[in-house]
Amino acid sequence: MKPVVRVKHKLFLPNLALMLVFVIVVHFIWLPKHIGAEKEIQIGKESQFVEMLATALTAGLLSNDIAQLHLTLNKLMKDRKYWHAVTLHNADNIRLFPIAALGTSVVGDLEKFVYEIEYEKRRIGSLELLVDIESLVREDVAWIQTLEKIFLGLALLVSIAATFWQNYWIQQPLRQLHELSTSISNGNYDSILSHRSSDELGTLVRSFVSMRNEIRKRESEIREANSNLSQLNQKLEQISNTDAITNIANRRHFDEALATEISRHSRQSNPLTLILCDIDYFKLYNDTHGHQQGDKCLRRVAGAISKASARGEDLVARYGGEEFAVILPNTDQQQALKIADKIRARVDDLALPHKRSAVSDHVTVSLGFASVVPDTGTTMSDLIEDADRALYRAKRDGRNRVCAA
Amino acid sequence: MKPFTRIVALLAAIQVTTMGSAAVAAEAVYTLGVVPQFEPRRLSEIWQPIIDELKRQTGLRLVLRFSPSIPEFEKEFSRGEFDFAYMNPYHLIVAHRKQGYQPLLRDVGRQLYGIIVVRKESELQSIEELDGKKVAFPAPNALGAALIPRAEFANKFNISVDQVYARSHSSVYLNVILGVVDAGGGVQKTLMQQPPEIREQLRVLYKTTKVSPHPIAAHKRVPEDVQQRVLVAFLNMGRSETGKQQLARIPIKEIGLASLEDYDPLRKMGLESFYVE
Repeated sequence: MKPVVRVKHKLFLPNLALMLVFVIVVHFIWLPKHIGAEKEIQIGKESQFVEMLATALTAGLLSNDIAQLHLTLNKLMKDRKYWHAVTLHNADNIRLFPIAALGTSVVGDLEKFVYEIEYEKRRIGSLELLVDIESLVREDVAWIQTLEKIFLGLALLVSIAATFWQNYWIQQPLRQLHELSTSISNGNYDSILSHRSSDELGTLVRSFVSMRNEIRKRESEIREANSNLSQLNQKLEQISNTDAITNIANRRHFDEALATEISRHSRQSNPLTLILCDIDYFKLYNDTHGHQQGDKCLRRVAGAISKASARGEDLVARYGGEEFAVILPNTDQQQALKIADKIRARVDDLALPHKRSAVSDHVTVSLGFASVVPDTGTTMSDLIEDADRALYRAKRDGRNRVCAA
Repeated sequence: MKPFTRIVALLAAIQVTTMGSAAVAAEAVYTLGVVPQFEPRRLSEIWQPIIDELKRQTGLRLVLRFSPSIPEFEKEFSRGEFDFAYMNPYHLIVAHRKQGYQPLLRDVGRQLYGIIVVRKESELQSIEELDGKKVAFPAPNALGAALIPRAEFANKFNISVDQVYARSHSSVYLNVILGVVDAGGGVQKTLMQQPPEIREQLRVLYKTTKVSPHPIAAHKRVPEDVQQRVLVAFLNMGRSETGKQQLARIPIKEIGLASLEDYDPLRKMGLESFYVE
């Protein structure tokens, strides 16, 4: 996974860069220059002092007062720790100071000053100084380096403070926006944003909140519209599956249901029964009682059939003009016979007057049914044909009866 | 100032005959000059307690007189400006000759002599070898360190040396150690005062003839009884512990009587011809 550089670190980077630039400029460019210049100044001062000292030593040299010379030089040496060595020679190049010859070991970067002491154009001696100029500058440099450290420390503190500041004014609102959008994704529109500033981020937060509110409003509208639509769809589906006159399933719904049940029963190897039911002499009924009364008859018969086959899975449908079909899932021939006869009896019980029926003075029905345990080869038309043949037989045998296939 | 003092002294002398010696002593003022061999402040610290003690014992009015330099001191005693004076032995010879100063007291506990030092590893073994060599002295008239040795070089050893004057005894020793000169004149006391690292690099080649040290002398005009009172007071101090300590700082180790004869060996050296005016 690619490492993520957080915003607060990105914001910290410029500060870091600034500090780095400062260190580089001060420590590696300015300081060496400053040290160089400071050394030059110190060398100038020292050479001036050596000249003065040489003049001061003249009297002692002229009067051979070496004790006085020693007193002067020893005192100066004691005061000036950065004087590494002082050597005084007389005109004959005999060393007058110090008493013991100096070792040749020279430590560090020493500046050498040599001054020929003259009196009335005559050389009376020479003064040689080895000065540790570095040590004069060292204190100054140490002070500057301390300042550097203090400044860097302060810069770091300010940067850290700035990070907290940025955290409050940038990161916190960003995090809140992130949380808000996550909660919106999860369908929660009620989280509260506390960022109240009037800057760009504040504006963003406010516009985000108003966007959130807008989304909430629209979603509830859409949800409402959706629910209306699905209700409508249900209604439509119901309408498309229902026969307008009898208010039971229509032929389309029956075809679908039968196909589904055949494949289901063939999978489960359960018996499936189809009953076809026809109103006896319905044409004559229509002719006698009128179409209005015919429709009423159809409705009453449909109701009777529905009541007779009232098991939850059973489907009663109007198959054609005066013909009805009943799908009885998980029903074998024996059970089917009972139900079919029950249907016949119920219709008989309706006692709808039918003056021109040849079999009764009221409306009757003939029923034919087929019960099968479908297999993969079983088709709808096979089942329908079997039931139809049984119906035909029931009619031929005198109507108002049930025939099995 | 001086003529006034003399007038006072004269008046006092007149009064001695009329009113008695105690009254005279109260009126007369006697001066004590001290050779300026140290800086004025140190001299004052050494001598003021002594003067106070002398005044207490004698009842005389005594005042200290300091001179700005040794040449100035020499001029002053040559003019007889001090009633009493602490001076070096050579000064006494000059002062006696010019103004009749008489030595009263001196340190009888020690003798004064000069030393000639060379570097420890120097090849020089005798004074005769110094002939024509460079020899450092503090100053031409320093009695032990320069005057006596110079006189002896010429009169006793018949050598002549290249003289270098180095202002102080310490400078003389340093000149020797550093090889600027071949030998140097000093005194035992200043040699012992040098730091060990200096002292250890030097060898005493020769000690000069010993002479009596610095006397306290009186001008011949000072009345005999006044001289006696001062002399007795000094001797009294030499007997008390405090007095001894005070005198030791002059420095006088053991105070005792001095006579002109004590300084005869010195006078015989003929130092006058070596004295640089």
